[in-house]
Amino acid sequence: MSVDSVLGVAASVGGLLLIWQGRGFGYWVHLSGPGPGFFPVVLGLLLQPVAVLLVVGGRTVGEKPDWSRSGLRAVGAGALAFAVTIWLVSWLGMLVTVGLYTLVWLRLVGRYAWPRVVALAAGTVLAVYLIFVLWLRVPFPTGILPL
Amino acid sequence: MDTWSYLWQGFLSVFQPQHLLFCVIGVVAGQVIGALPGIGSVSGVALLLPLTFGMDPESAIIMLTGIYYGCMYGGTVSAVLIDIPGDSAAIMTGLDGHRLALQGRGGQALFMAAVGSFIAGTFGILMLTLFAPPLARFGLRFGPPETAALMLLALTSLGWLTGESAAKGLLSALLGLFLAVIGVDSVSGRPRFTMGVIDLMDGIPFLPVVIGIFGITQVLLWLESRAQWKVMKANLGLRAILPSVQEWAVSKWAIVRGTIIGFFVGLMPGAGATTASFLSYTIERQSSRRAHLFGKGAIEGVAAPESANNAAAIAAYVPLLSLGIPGSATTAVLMGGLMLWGLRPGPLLFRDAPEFVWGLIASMYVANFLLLAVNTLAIPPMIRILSIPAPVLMAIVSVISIVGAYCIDNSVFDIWLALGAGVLGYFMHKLKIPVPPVVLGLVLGPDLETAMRQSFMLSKGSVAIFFTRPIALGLLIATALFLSAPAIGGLLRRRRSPSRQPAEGQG
Repeated sequence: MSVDSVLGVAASVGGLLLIWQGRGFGYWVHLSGPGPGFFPVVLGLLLQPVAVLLVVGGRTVGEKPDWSRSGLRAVGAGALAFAVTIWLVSWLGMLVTVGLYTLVWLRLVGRYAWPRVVALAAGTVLAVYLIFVLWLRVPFPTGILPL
Repeated sequence: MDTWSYLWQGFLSVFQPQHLLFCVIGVVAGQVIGALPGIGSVSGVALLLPLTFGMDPESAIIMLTGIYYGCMYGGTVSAVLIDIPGDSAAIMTGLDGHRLALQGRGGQALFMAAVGSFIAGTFGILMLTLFAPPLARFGLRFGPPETAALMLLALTSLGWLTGESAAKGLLSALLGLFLAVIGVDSVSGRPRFTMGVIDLMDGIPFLPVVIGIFGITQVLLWLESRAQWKVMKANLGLRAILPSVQEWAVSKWAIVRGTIIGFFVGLMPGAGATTASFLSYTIERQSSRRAHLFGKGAIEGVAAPESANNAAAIAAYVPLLSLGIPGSATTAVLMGGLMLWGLRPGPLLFRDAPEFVWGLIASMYVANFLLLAVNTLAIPPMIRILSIPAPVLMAIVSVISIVGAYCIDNSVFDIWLALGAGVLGYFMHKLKIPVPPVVLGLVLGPDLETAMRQSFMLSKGSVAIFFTRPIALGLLIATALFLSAPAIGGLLRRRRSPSRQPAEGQG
């Protein structure tokens, strides 16, 4: 089964779920017309012919995406780094977290020497402070540190 | 007041020193970030939008226009000097532009691209000034069925025309519409698909998704490829960038043709700047006496697609401002930005807030001129910025994405949303599902749902309401033609091919 066919089957199942959920929300409300479930049901119905096109197209094309294990590992690590950073924003504040993120990124991904890494991270934090805190007056979370 | 008086008022507003400064900052920032390899115009506008958050609406809109303009042109610089087009609209410009750069004539290529963009942009804005107001007056006659039919046409055409597979384009548009459904239903107050998450009750905000799906996705894709780039050296002194008389002679009609093709292609939602540049390049090559030079460094091969993509970028404003329908992903992002200030592009905006519309249009004239000035005088320092190493650039994009997503609503949850959208964007990219239809679906979704529900309320559930009103019927026929055109084309080709085969066999 090609990726497009799998995508088509998933789209069809997703569409059926939308119809089922939509009917639960209330497809039609007496006297007032279409209810909150009306639009999800319409979307679910529209997904069905699209799913058929994907499955039929997938049978003739049968293309595989260019995935590699090392590439996926790098993307997973990147997404995890983003997630940890977001989690840290509430604990350490925006400016400290952004500085840490830049520091770690430039050292591990860029493999730059420490003096350059520190200078670039400090520059980034200063730029964020000048633009967002001083100029645009965005109230950044400060976390446990007063920064 | 008539059109010209409003436009004059708009110019008076833009020429206030503070507004002019924001326009310059917007053009320069847009050009720099749009030129950075792998970022391009949509990501550029999305990443720079947060810069306008603390401003008054007029300054913000003027700066946004500058950003949009700068980003649209920025892609050309990286296409010519690095051979990595900033966005798909600059692919054709890069074909001959980079060849010229390899021959040491990168400066002329960039100058011709700037002049072509300026002429095309000026023509486009003039057409916008003349035709958007009457189209908006026509748009005022639209009721819910016409609005719903128009949005369906926009979504279908964008879904159908972007990417390699029409089915994937439509899937992407439906995904965007689904994301727009999440949240509390505005009519009944019932939560839909919120999974009990309180932050989702207000729905999925547009801008964090856009920042994630364009900014964070780029970072993830780069982590996978670890691509590096090298900026070509080019002599960019004022004398060195001026094209010769012969180059002007071969380029002037290419600019005119590119401008006209670009404008009319750009009017159609979904077709946009990329299609316009492909079409104008192909027509130019077929009609040129120097066809053998195309792909090897023909300057008209830069002038034509560059004029076309700029004219198309302006043309996309016509349906956006007059009917409230963005014709491309970039204009959809821009629409999201305008909506932050409570300005809903569409026919009512011309009637209710003319000072904003005409301020916006006047700022386009000014941004167009500034772009020409910036590109003839300030290219060398910008090229130095292009030389930023890839890891540093991606660190900057990451930081802008995190901070930008947060400061839309001062919410950490929005950064999580941006990350989710970034991961989604990565998988869409790998599965070759085009991203622009998701963005359009998300921005048009709430209005499409309202228009459909109101239509069915008016008709008491009958679909006949869409077929008995001439404008709605016309728009639905156009949608049906769009959907069936590839199938009809395929059938016609299949019918012709058996009669050709023997001839080919004989030859």
